[in-house]
Amino acid sequence: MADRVSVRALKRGEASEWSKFVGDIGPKIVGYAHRMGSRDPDEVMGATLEAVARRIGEFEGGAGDLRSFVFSIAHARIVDDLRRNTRRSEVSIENTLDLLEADEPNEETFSDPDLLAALERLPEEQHRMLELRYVVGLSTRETAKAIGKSEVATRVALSRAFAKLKDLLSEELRAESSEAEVAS
Amino acid sequence: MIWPSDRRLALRLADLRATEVAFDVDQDLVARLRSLAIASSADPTLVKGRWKRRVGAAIGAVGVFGWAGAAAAGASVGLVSTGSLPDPIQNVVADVLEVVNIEVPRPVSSVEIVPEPVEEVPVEETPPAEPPVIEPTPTTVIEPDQPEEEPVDEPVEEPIATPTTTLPEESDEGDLDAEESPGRSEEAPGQTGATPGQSGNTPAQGAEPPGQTGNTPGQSGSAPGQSGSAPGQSGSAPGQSGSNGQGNGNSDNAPGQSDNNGNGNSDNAPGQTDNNGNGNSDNAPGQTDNNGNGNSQGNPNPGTPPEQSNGNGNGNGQSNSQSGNNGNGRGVAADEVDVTPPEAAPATEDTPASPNRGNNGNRGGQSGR
Repeated sequence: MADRVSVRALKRGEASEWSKFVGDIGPKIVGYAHRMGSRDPDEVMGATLEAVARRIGEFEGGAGDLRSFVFSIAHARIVDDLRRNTRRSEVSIENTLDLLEADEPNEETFSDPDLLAALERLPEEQHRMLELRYVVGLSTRETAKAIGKSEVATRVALSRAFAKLKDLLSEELRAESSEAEVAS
Repeated sequence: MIWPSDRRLALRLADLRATEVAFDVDQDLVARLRSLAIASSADPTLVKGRWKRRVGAAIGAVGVFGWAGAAAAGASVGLVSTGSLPDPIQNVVADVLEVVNIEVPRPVSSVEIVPEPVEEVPVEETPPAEPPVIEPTPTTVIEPDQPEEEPVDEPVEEPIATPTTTLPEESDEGDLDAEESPGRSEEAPGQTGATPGQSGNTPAQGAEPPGQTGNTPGQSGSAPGQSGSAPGQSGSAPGQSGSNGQGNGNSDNAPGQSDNNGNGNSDNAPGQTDNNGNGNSDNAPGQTDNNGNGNSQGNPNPGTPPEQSNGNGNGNGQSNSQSGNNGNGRGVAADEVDVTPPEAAPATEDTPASPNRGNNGNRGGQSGR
């Protein structure tokens, strides 16, 4: 879907292209922000799109590069949001409780709780790479650009992250099987 | 139990995106993003155009007349600084700019030529120059009728020339007294007879400061080139030879001062009596050398008896160029050297060796200015 977005049309400010771009990339930003632990994914999405629109005139590249560009900005906003929420929790307990209730996971968002739990146990950079590469659907090159590393290094890091995620899931499976044997 | 394969795990991760909640696109958000994108894309050209407009506005604000005035002012300043404007305008501009301490060249015609201050050489006060006193030359009157007092019977011994040169003290300091002025031999060495061989009565007198010798070095006498009044009379007896009278007034002064020498020399050949009174001055470069010479030659006159000699005296006063110096010398006959001062010189008649009262070289060496 993103391939059909014309960067030139976005630079010219065509409304149709911007509607298509927001409808395509918006949910991905929100999901990415959710999975990365953002307290307010909608705010992250709005701030990310606004930053992209401000800097679209300086952007050079195609649609793939634009996705990398968007998620690199989204990641920076998520980090800002996490820091802001950290400070906010220190201000008021009541507000923190409200936020926790609002961000309470539901069944729709977290359909695979084991996988999500395993992703949470990964280091932040590996988690982020796996998200961009397998969940958001960026290519390895686009992922590398989004996280600011070389493609080779990103490929190696992805391989290690994937292996570690498998180990985590396997440990959980062993633990579950052992518990089942004990119960039986 | 199904162990997670790579493919299966990848699919599980991809299924997570299905949980993403699609939402309706907010048109207000799209409109805001669109306007931001247009502004962002138009920014680079706007910045360039903005600078161009600012430069153009700055140039245009000055205006045509402003630029023309600035150009004219610049050209005027260039012309003024090089002094290329006409003289009256250049003068006016120079006067105006002088108020603000800007010096511009003035026209050549209006430039006042200020004479350079001449360094005045401190002149030592010298006593007023004595007017050249020309002492009455003791003219030797040859009285042919006068009988010889005492004929010389004995052959005259060959006179031994004993040139007594009386050198005055060196006047290096230039503060010599008038009485001790070089070139003036007061002791009158080499006097022959009464006042033989006097050369230069008033040597080295002068009124001009530079080149003074002794008291008044470098001053020249009033009567340049005056020679002795009765120069060169040789009164030696015939056959007497070689009366040398030298009176030297030498002064070696410091550079810049003059050296005046007064010499009275008489080198006589046998039978001749040449008394020279020379006033020589060796001055530093640029100064004058004045020589006063009193010369007397006594030549055997064919008409006279061979024992007698006629004395011819020449008194020369030479002055060169600027300040005259007088050198006085007194010719002293070597045969009878009387060291007594001229004031105490015996009368000529008392001199037996010079019956003809051979005064040689009187007043030689007065040099003129």
